[in-house]
Amino acid sequence: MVAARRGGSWGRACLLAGCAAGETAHIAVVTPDSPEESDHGGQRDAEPCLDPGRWLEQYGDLLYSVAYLRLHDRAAAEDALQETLLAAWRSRHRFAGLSSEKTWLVGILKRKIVDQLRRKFRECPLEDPPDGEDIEDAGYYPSGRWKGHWIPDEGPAEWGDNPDAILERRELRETLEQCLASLPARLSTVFVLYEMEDMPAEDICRELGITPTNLWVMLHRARKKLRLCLEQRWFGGDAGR
Amino acid sequence: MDIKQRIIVWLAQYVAPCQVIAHRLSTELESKPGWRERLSTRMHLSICVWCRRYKHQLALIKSAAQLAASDQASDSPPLHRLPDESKDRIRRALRDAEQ
Repeated sequence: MVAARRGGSWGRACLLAGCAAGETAHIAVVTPDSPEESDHGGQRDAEPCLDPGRWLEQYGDLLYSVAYLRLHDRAAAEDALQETLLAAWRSRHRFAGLSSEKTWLVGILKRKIVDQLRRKFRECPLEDPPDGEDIEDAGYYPSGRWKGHWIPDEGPAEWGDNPDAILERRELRETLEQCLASLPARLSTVFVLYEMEDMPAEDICRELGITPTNLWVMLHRARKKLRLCLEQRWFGGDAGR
Repeated sequence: MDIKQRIIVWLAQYVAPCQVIAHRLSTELESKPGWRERLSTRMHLSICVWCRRYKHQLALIKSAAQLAASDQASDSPPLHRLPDESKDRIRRALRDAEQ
């Protein structure tokens, strides 16, 4: 049993325990009372070798991809990754090993992403005030007898009758990512928080300082823009119409 | 225009416009509407192929977003690679912070 394992340089926990990277050392650990960055653990007998250098090598691409999908910005994704590894290193004593290291790091990263999204949302309230107003009337008859109905050549195209097969395509994720990146920042933020992070609506409204009505309208516009973008980039615009 | 198409065109004048239905279909993903709205939406969908497609496409986008978000839980390779120069920079920052 190793008692003095706190602090010190990278990999010290590993060195003290005398194990190789990725292995598990037998160390008695009592987790703290306020585990903000913890994996909700209690008392246990073992913990993995914690080393930010190895985290970067082993999970760097994965964490970067997770951040990039949600932030659509290379610098912001790298910042989130760096902040995550720093936060993980500072709170390493809270890692109880009840979840995998990867799950623990992704959990911390997601909190960093929410912080970045909140900042981004608040920094650009005037950048795209229409929040997709331009798309609100796109594809519909603007006036006359059929006002508000789809114009046949501009209405939704046929995407195929096998959604499961479509969802299995890796290219769909790539296209979705491109389309998310093309959304106004405020729309992509609410979409990511609600649809991808599964954050409750009331939490989103509180974090972003918006009303539920605003949220639903922005989600509607985000979906409408995404649908149009996917149709143009993935399904080739006129396909199946 | 055959008789079926004529009936659909005639009915279309009396149902809510597609633009309203599109908004309603999006809202329905969050909360269940009242019976009047549900009935009106169902009537519209029964005669409008575009709004039926729209409904299915919204569901597909939702599923695709959730699938993409859960990708880190799978063993599939990451979609992006952290550039080497960024990796070096982050490694240095981590060392600085640790010292």
